[in-house]
Amino acid sequence: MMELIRWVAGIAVLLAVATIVGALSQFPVAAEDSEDAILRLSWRVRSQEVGECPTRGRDDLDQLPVHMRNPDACVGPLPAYDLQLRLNGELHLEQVVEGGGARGDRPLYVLEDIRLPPDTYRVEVTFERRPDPGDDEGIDMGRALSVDTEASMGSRTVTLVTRAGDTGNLELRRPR
Amino acid sequence: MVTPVQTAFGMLGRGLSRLDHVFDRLYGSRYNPLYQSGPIAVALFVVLLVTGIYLLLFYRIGAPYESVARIDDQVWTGRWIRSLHRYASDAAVIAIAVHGVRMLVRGRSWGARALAWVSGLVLTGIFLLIGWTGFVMVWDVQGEALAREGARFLDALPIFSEPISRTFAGEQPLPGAFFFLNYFLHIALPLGIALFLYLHVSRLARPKLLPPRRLTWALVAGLTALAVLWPADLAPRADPGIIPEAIPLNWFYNFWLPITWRMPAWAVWLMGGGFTAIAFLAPLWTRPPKRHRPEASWVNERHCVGCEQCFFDCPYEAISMMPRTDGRDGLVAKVNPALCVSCGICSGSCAPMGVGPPDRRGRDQIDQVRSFLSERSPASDEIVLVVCGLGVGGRLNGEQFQGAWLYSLDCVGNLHTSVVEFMVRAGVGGVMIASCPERDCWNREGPAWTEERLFHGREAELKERVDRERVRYLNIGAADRGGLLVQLREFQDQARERAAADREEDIEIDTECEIPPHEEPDLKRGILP
Ligand code: SF4
Ligand code: SF4
Repeated sequence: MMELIRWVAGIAVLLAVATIVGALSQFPVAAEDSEDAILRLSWRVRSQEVGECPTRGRDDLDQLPVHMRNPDACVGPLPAYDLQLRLNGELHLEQVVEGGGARGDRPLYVLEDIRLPPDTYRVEVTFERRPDPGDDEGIDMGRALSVDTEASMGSRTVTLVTRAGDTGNLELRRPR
Repeated sequence: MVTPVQTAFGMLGRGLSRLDHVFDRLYGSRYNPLYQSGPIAVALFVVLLVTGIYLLLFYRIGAPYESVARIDDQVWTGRWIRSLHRYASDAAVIAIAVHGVRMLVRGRSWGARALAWVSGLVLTGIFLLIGWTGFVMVWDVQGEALAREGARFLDALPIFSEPISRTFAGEQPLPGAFFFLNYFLHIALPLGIALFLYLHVSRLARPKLLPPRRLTWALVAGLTALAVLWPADLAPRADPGIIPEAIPLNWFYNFWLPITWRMPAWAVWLMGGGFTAIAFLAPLWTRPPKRHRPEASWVNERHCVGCEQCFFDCPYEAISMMPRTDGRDGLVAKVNPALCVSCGICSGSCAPMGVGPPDRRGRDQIDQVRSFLSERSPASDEIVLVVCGLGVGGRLNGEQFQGAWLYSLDCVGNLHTSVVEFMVRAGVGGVMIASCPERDCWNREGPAWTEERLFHGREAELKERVDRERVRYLNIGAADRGGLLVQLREFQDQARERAAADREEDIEIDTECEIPPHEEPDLKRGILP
């Protein structure tokens, strides 16, 4: 009799452990309580406009390791950019974006997630080069990136503002 | 002074012993899975390799989720093999956690065992990494959440000029290189497991890498049944355009996700780094103060005859045999103190009593038993209960337990059989040796060698002349007082019957030839006839 009880208890414990393993292997957890939508700003700009690009002479090049012998010696950090986001005409985000990397000489990038209640919004984004304090009036600041459009943002959806593959300008679309 | 850590470990240790006891009763000590946590983890790793090879045949880097969904559609094979792969990895996490906690609570994490502890932590880390890459490979909502969280942590480090998180922003479809990297790591990291497993057991003699066959098959059968009856769900596909409300989470690997979601990345690094540092530094904070650390074994070369038995018996390969330098022929045993954990198992292996930790060599044990017998004077119908201080003996206080005299050792594996012979020849009613369950010895091989020395002629064996009726050996869990009591009562009854029979014989002898009292040998003072 005791042996039978032991067997039954042994199997019951085994079943209980198996059930715990099965349940904890896939027990759902609430990932996000809010019903908000996300407007995601994400793009990368490889700016050509750098501080100075003097051409290196033969002597200068000979001093450098072979793999670094580029005659166009562009130096200095990339210029900073102004990022502005307006929602329904109101300024929602304003940022200065500087070049990436420790020396600020890597491509610029933008990555911002903005949580919004689900609704339809007029979205205006501009991203343009900041004038340096020493710049003369009327200097060519290069092309600004911008988008101005209406977007309907559903609950728990992500709308992406990024650069269009063909034009390079900003566009709103679904992430992929 | 007892530190709070020791107090906590003591309480945890008692809890574990109780759990051990329950499992002992259910499955017997030989098949108690709690005693086999390390080997079970290895067995499950083998299951993961076998099932993983099948899954890799069907996995496609170019269409990760779709290929896993296709595997899941194979109702007769793929679905349960994938589920078995998942459940075996979950069970392995449990086994690893149990193994780690047991080692920590028992103070088996410092000194010569530090290498095993540290390599065990690295193994755990690799195991988790393999698991995480496996979840990401599926690229369902859980895999995506893991990848995003991982990227967020990496972005907090000042080493990348662009955030890794942009990869998952949805500007471009995820590059194949990302899935290839995961795939590669998932396959390559198990090689790291093999390497660190080798390191993990490198200081052990005769490491037991797998549990007993019946337990292994029972585990595989149980997990397969679970996989067939309750296949692991395939969560919805990852979609960068949707914020999922809930994620089916694997709590064995990803229990931390709900915590870190709400924390800044730097705080996660701080917390994770803190826990990791505490774990890796355990060899320092778990070791006892210097004055309480047991000393390494040593060899008295005058007594050593070079029989090599201690060399064979040492569970930690701390003894080597060297040519003698004292003018005598042959070999002599040498202990490497850096490898010796002071388990004392060599004390019981040496017939000439030439080796062992200080105060625990055979000769010391004879001195100790002599004074024990002269102080306690056990009667001819009384039992001496030899207990392991690390096992059931650690929970028995006082001089006696249910009428039996307690004789406690650091580990029963230390027991020199001459001690048993000394007790029996001194006239005690019986000697009961209560050892830990074989697979639960803190010093690995104490119970196995002790039983062989007592009953199967292993050096230093209990001599033939000792009446085996008066010697009882049993394996008993630390919390199994009830089991001990049942066996003790039975042995006590036998001892009383034997003593009564002896008295009757004495009466007959007395009638024929009376010995004057002053000529009787005084056994209780340790003077052998
Ligand atoms: S068991 Fe004793 S005699 Fe034999 S090798 Fe070891 S120390 Fe020497
Ligand atoms: S006490 Fe003896 S058996 Fe134990 S590790 Fe040291 S040398 Fe080996």
